[in-house]
Amino acid sequence: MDRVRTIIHYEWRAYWRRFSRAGSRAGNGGILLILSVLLAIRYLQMLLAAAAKVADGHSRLLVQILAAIFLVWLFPMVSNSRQTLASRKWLHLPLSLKERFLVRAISLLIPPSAWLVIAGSLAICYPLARARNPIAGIVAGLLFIAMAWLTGLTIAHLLNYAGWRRVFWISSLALLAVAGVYVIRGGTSATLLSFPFSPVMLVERAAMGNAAAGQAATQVWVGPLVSLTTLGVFVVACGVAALWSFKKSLAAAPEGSTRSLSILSPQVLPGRLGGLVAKEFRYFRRLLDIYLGVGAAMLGCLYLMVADVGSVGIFASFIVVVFICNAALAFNSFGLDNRSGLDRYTLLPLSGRATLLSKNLAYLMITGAQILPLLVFAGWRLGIFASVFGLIQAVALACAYLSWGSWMSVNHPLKMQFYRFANSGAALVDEMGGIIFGSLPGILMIYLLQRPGRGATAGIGLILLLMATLYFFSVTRFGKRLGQQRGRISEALS
Amino acid sequence: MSASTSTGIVEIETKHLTKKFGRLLAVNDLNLQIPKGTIFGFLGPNGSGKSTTVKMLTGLLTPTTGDALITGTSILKAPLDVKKKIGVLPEELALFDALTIWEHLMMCGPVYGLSKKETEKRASELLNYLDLASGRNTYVEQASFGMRKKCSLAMALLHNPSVLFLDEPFEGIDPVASRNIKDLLLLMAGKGVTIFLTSHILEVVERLVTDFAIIVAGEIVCRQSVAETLRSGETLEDLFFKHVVRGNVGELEWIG
Repeated sequence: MDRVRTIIHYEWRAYWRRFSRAGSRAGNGGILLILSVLLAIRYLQMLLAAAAKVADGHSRLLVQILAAIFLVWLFPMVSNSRQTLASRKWLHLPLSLKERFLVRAISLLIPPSAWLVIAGSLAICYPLARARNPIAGIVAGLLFIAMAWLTGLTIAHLLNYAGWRRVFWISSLALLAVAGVYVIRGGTSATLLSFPFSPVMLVERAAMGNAAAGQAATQVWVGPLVSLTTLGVFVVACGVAALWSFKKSLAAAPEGSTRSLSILSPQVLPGRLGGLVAKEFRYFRRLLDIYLGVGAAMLGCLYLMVADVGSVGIFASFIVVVFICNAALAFNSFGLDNRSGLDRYTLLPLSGRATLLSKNLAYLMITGAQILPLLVFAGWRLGIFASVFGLIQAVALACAYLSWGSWMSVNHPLKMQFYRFANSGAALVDEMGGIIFGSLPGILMIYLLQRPGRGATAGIGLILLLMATLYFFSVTRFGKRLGQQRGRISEALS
Repeated sequence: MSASTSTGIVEIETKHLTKKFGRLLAVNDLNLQIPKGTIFGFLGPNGSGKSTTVKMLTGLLTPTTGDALITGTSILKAPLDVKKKIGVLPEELALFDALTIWEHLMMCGPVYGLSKKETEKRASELLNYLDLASGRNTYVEQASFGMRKKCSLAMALLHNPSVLFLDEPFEGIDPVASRNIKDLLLLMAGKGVTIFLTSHILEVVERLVTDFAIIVAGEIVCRQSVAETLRSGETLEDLFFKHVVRGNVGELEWIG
């Protein structure tokens, strides 16, 4: 354990050193704190409400919070962007597999965002303590958290392999489609989670029990004990899976990329920037965030297919959501590059503006591919006017996101990693500001759409013109700054 | 227009080139003139300022003071014009981990104005020559150091530059490829391409370069031609160790 402790100590030191090198964001600190406090207050209110309901024998809110906790645990694991000492590069160090696994698992908990997840997860013990079987409930809650942690680790390891990535994509999209159809058809999210062996329901059953009148005390404990045992088996299985996937990740070099259809992996596109745009496209499509956009677009298409009377407003809202899902691509366009790659941009006879433009074109290809089916379905179900409106809205949204993104990409770059979610890190506030700013033209257009007339058409045209002008100035200005900021960007990405 | 000297057209010229990193003076008042068609060796121990100089000459670093002219064009005033004319094998290779070797070449060609067809033709020929054809679909992050270096070298050569900057071109390269690269550099120099290279392998430098300079602690301590060195009865290695202080192995008593 001494060796593990030593390594974690230096991992800790390296993390905070990188954090401080990434640049002082003292201006963000205050806002971030306020946001965290507001979120914490809201979460506490939900926990108090859940506790009160649990005490009254109602578990619906508890189940929803548990499901959210499970999902949230996937993020620190799957978004972690740093290689730890446990990775393949350090196989020459005299560490056992278990020691490496411990280093890997614990080092993922170093960032403050992971502490928030831990604190938020442990807080579920409060409503569980008000349940009919508090001890069984708390134990089940802790087992559930351990299971979520180990599941996150397993997925993070397996995402390095093309075959497993395909399995995850297909199953996620299938689940999303089923859930989408179910909810659109009038089902509720609570009933979705209530199949008997769902871990969430096992915790609920351990905490609430299922005592019927006249049952003996020993019989009352049978249900919770079965739930606890099942959860225990799940945790062991997840632990074995996490260790197996970790061992697999050490045994062979993870694949650099998926061998994809050529349409998803273009070698070169027309024009002087064609090669670079193709490169950026191939890089961007390896960030998990874009699959959230694919999911959102898919839900939008499902809505247009299934809804009896579709609404242009709801269709347009789906377009806004697709852009929100792809925000990281616009706001952190150098995040997937490294120092060496940045050197290449500098060596090529290209201005900073051209470099930014190549990244923006790749972003447009990604978002365009997501929006296109929505526009086609909208044309079919809502008419050509809706489709044209969607296109205009998408152009305005792209201009707004890329205007903000040019500034952020040059001034606040953050390291991202392939097949992981973008790590917001200390730029969370800037990103939130960007999402609000970027989405605003789309939301305003939806608002204007509800007020038909010449004024609305002129307003939509004006927004489009304004955003296009803003984009032009942004890409020119921050393209020039790119050359001056290159050293800082390299530092942040190394 | 390039300047002229008694030896011909000057392709690389530095004027009081200086680079400071905080208090550290990495390169101090460097003044060099390198004629067209020269293979110029820039030698020195680790941390002496070789790579910093290459970075300044290729636009990767901005000089603190001074300027450099490449084929008569200032790297500070017209960096894009300079970059169109030069090929660079940088110290850190400047590659993208998640692209294959072939994809790197296909990405670069159009940026230098080559058509897709021409890029494919040149890339294939270069990879064949550098014995990299079988590894063309290897991702850079999975390639060996030698393969990565050859990939970066192929990118430097793809657009047929008139000036070539090579930072440690022979380090990590197998003997066959090393010989091929030497032959290629000699051919290019014969056709008027100016080559500026840094290397620690003094035997190779001695056989390849026409002129050289030794830089120590950011300052040029020796500048002459290989012919002059050989005429004086010294080897390049003798000359190098005249200017560079070596460590004393006797101080490491605990080893072994």
